[in-house]
Amino acid sequence: MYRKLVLFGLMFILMSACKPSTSGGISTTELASLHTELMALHDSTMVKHGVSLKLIDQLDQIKLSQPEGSLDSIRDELDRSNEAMMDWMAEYTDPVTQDSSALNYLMDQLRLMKAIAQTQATAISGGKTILETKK
Amino acid sequence: MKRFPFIAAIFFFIYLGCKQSPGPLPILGESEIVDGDTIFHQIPDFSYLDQYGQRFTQDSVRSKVYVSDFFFTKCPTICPKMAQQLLRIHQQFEHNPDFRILSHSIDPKYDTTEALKKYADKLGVGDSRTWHFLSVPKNEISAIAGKYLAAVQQDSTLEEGFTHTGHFLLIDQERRIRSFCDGTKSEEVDRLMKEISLLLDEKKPH
Repeated sequence: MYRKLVLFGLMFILMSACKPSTSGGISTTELASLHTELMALHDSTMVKHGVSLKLIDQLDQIKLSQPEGSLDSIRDELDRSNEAMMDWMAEYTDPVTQDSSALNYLMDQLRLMKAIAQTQATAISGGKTILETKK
Repeated sequence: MKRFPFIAAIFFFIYLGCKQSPGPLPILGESEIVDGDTIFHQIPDFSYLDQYGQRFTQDSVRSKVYVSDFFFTKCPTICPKMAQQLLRIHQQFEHNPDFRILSHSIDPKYDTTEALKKYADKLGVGDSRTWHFLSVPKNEISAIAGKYLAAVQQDSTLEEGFTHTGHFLLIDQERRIRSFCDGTKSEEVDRLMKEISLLLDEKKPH
């Protein structure tokens, strides 16, 4: 009987150790994976930030030789998406807790970052199209 | 038997003679021949404010070797890793008057002089005269980053986005690119530190 109790106890400890830890009903694995996704999206958006800056330079060059109003709107769009990226980084802070508020915060930030990435992609695509037509 | 030390000495000197010392570092980036002279890719003149609010120009690095990178203080991913590696470089060369580190911020909106000083203080290099944190005006970022990263883009399959790549560039006394490495990898930075020493030992330009 004693042996069975010890065995049961050991199995219980093992099961507890293998189970992902939770805090306030939130899985830390879920939080970590959300954070990783957000940072990966941030990195890829920042890489395109360089593309966007280069496009602005190229559009400005075209504007010098062919002053046209149509260039302004796409240039502003590129500029706005760059600003939005920098504003997001200035506002963002890693959550210090591991509860539902942290989860909600990260989900909100991911939504924001996805919107910024989308705006940026549209602006870059528009900029590239204009460059192609002006070649 | 008495001849053995003599023969051993001869072999030793032959070994020393054949052992290749590391040659000079290559000059990277595109070059062109003008009137028979080779014109190498060179970092253009610049003028930015540093973390002390002082104007930092090409004259501030005249005849000096320097490492350059691009960063922004709010970056939550690769920049902290790069900063840790630059701290290692700073530690090793901070007392060498012929060496500098130039970290270019690509976020002029938030990386003001005060923000750059605060960042430097946080890294423990707030009073450094070796490491300069420079604020690059928005309309100049693309051009200057392109000039620094020309060598990287030439030698790798780097995507067009160049301001968030984590590269360190090694620049010589004549503002020519001599080497680069991935600033997030300590083994690559180890290699760069050896190259910095090599470059510092190269004959200074007249």
